[in-house]
Amino acid sequence: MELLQKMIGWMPALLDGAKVTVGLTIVSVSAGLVLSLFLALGKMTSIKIIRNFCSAYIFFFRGTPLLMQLYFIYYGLPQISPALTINDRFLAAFIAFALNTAAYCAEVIRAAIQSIDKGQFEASKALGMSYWQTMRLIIIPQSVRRLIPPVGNEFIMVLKDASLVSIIALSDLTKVTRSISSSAVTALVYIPAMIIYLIITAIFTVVFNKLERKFSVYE
Amino acid sequence: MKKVISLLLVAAMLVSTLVGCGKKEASGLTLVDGKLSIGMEVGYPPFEYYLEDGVTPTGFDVRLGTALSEKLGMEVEFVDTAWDGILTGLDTDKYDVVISALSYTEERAAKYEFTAPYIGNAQAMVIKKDSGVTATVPEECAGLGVAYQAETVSDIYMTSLLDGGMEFTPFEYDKVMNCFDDLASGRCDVVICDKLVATDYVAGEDSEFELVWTGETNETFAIAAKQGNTELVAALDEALAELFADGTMVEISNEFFGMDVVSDLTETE
Repeated sequence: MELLQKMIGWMPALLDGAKVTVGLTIVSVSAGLVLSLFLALGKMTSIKIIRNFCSAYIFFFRGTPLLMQLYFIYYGLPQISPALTINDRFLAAFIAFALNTAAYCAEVIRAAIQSIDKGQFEASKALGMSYWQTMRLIIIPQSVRRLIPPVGNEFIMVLKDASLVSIIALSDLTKVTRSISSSAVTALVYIPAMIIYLIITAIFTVVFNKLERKFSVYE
Repeated sequence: MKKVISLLLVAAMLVSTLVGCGKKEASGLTLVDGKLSIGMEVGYPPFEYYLEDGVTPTGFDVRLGTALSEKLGMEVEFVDTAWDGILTGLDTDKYDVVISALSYTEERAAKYEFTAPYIGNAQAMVIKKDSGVTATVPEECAGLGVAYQAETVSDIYMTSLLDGGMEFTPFEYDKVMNCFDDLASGRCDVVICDKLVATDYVAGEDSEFELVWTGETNETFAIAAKQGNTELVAALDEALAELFADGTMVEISNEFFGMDVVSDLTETE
């Protein structure tokens, strides 16, 4: 009973941290998705310079740790030039996470688009559609359903990766939990914290399942 | 038959582990006989930091740990660990002691054994030169961005001001070095940290930082060990007293601070 009371006492701080975690995840995955669509199309284009740039981008952001990218954007850039200083911590974290997620999502999108049967392209061509019309009206709507499970996966990964932001002094759910744990000298605070993570994940899972069902109509 | 043999093997392994544990408890002062294992958060100049090569720890505490283990006739091992949870590492037997610019507090002493203090410390406030910050004490920092390392005495100090109703934006870092990185780039206005760390950062003509306030010298750094490990603490206390008596402490102090910051403490003891 006493424990329960303690846990209720920790809730406001934990929920404040959860707000940062969820906020960062939603905005950076959303921005990352938009960017990744261009990267994916860029990687499939016949224009060599764009294709090479997109491949290099994806290679770089998937090939280096997110922790290091965050560190570099926040602490490294200002040392290259003071003009590159990002003053807002949340903004710095958002930029790092969005750039990183974009690289992962780009490959997901490319795979989804390329998994659409070639006959669809040919049929569109036969109907006299342009490349962009084909993409917009035929291919992308069909690939969306195939995108949803891996994007949901990425979402949940980012949700947990958000705990990296403590290195730039942002207080996310994990950071708040650690702070409470050391000031209250108890590791039991991890119980409500993990429950909060699970609730957030459960909500996202339900949302993504609904979306998946909704977009299934195209197949 | 095979089952019986594997069961016997498992049993033998269990027994040997248990016997092994028993042995460790019974003999010697340390986890591994003849080796003093020291937990520290490397990245806290000038107390513990890496040389340019990035692998060799050095600093006041490193020299102190080495000198102590020599007195005890033991080998020394440094375990680099995060500050957050450094004392918990004692409970889980990750190392024998913590020597990591650790301030003695009553809350900590209730859970761990402490040696006699080896250096005195105070809180300090640092700003960037020419930054236009006019606050001269932490109590005047209302409205400013204040950086400090999480779970340190600086954290406790500033949190008590927050709880007292003062309004500033707290930035808690895992490493004190990042506080100064942020101060340099202008993303926070002041850094609150240990005086001896601040002194090191503002030293030198070309330092971009300025020390504007130091508090009362009312805290001390000491070595912590697991609760109940009084034998090791007694041995360390003896070795520490010898280091003070034979001038080694002053020598180490001169090396890292360019002056004697340890004798004052012994006089007041």
